[in-house]
Amino acid sequence: MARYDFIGERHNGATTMTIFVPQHTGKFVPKQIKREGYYDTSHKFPVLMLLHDLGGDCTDWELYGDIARISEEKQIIIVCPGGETGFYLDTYDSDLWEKQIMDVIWQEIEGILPSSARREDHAIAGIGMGAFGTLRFALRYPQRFAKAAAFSGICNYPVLYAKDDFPFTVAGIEDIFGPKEAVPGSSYDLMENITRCGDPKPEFVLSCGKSEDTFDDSVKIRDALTRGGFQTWWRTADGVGNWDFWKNELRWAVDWMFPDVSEN
Amino acid sequence: MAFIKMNLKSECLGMNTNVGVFMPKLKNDKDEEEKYGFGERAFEPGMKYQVMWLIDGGCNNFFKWYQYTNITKEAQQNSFITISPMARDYTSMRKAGGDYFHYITEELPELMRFLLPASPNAEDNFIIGASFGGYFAYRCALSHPETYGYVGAVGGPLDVVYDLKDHRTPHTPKAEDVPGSDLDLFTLLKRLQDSGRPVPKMFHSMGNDDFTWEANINARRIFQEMGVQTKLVTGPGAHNWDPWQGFLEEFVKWLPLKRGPFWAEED
Repeated sequence: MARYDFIGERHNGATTMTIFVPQHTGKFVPKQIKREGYYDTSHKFPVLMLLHDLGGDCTDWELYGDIARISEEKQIIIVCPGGETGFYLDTYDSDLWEKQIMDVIWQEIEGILPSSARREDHAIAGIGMGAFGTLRFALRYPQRFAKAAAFSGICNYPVLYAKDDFPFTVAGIEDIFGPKEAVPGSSYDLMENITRCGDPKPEFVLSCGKSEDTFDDSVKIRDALTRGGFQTWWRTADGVGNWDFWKNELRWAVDWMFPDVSEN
Repeated sequence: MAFIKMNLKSECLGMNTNVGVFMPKLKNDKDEEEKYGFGERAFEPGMKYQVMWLIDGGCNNFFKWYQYTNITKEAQQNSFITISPMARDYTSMRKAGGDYFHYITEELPELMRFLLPASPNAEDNFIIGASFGGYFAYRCALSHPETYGYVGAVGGPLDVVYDLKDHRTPHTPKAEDVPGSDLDLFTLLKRLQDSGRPVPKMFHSMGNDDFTWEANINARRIFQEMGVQTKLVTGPGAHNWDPWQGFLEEFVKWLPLKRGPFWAEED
């Protein structure tokens, strides 16, 4: 198992990522002459991008989410970018999280990592703010992702403006999304992204605890996706989301995303 | 452009280990083309970069070169990858804890070509070491010339027999045991010459007050007697990172840099 602490540059700041790349291990026998083939450099791995929640960072999924084992067992690359509190947007106050992740970081994934270039080998998932980012990226970049899984805290912009409680104060939300009246129909509006999403359509899983305060909004989004012609799976459990729930949901999602490890 | 601290499993070492990797920007911006005088190269997945392998001076620290030199600036400006492993045993004499020689010369290059867009060809692979790491870099290159086409040392005791007379630890051999052995650079060179295998191009450097002065002068003379010319750079300074920063820049200038990604046919 190769684990990377990745420190890069983004358009206006540093970027951090935690990355897992499966590492073939076996019986390495050193020889004095140049050898071929112990590591098959033509082998490329599927890629899962995992987005963290508000208040988290690139270490969340690794610390709490069992992803090292998933990477090894499923033989997939897992990439966890850091997104601070920007909702993975090119924000109203000019942070460029979307550009950094979908432009720069995917260039790096394709150029630096032994990753598959096929759409069916790319998937994305996230919790809370990461669920919002997951839905939005999958809808805006349907040529990039075949499957997307959104866990807990799935909501559209009205819910965020309504909370008005740290860290979701209205002033803070306005820095990210701008004034509320300008959001409907904009690229920040999930419903707008559902309407505008072209082909090929990605498939979705939405998972939400029944007691979560965003449960109703998650249902709205599920229904909008279904009406929009997207294959959408719906999963719930009692209570609110926690890491036991999310670990389970990720394991289910990964089997759904990568049903058989493809030989490239 | 990224710094990656990699944590990997090594079978030669029998444990996890850290590697410090610097990856230049995949694509240069237009203003960098004007500033540094080299062009924007369109990067496509599958293209490769040249690699500089960095060996520290016996401190088992993958981060040392990054802390004490501006190697990342050199790598970014010249578009090569740098890879710096943990390196604990330069003479293969430690009984417990891992076969560093085969890890660094065989397992790690294969693994890095699997994980990174690193060129597999000797002409694109440069290894440089500081202090005793400089001797080790030569040991690696002269044992594996198909892997490393260019070798460098800053403050490295290349005439290690001379050096061992004054400096010995529990994990270095006796001076009298070295000639004729796998630890002797001149023996390794003779084997390459006798078998017709390629000989890496050699660069070495030391400060005027560095205690490895004689070890380098001797080595240069012996290499010359064997028909091999080395590039030697000296200057003010002693056995520390102050002069080595400048020597690193000379090493970089001496190399056949491609200064951008390229399609590599394997040798």
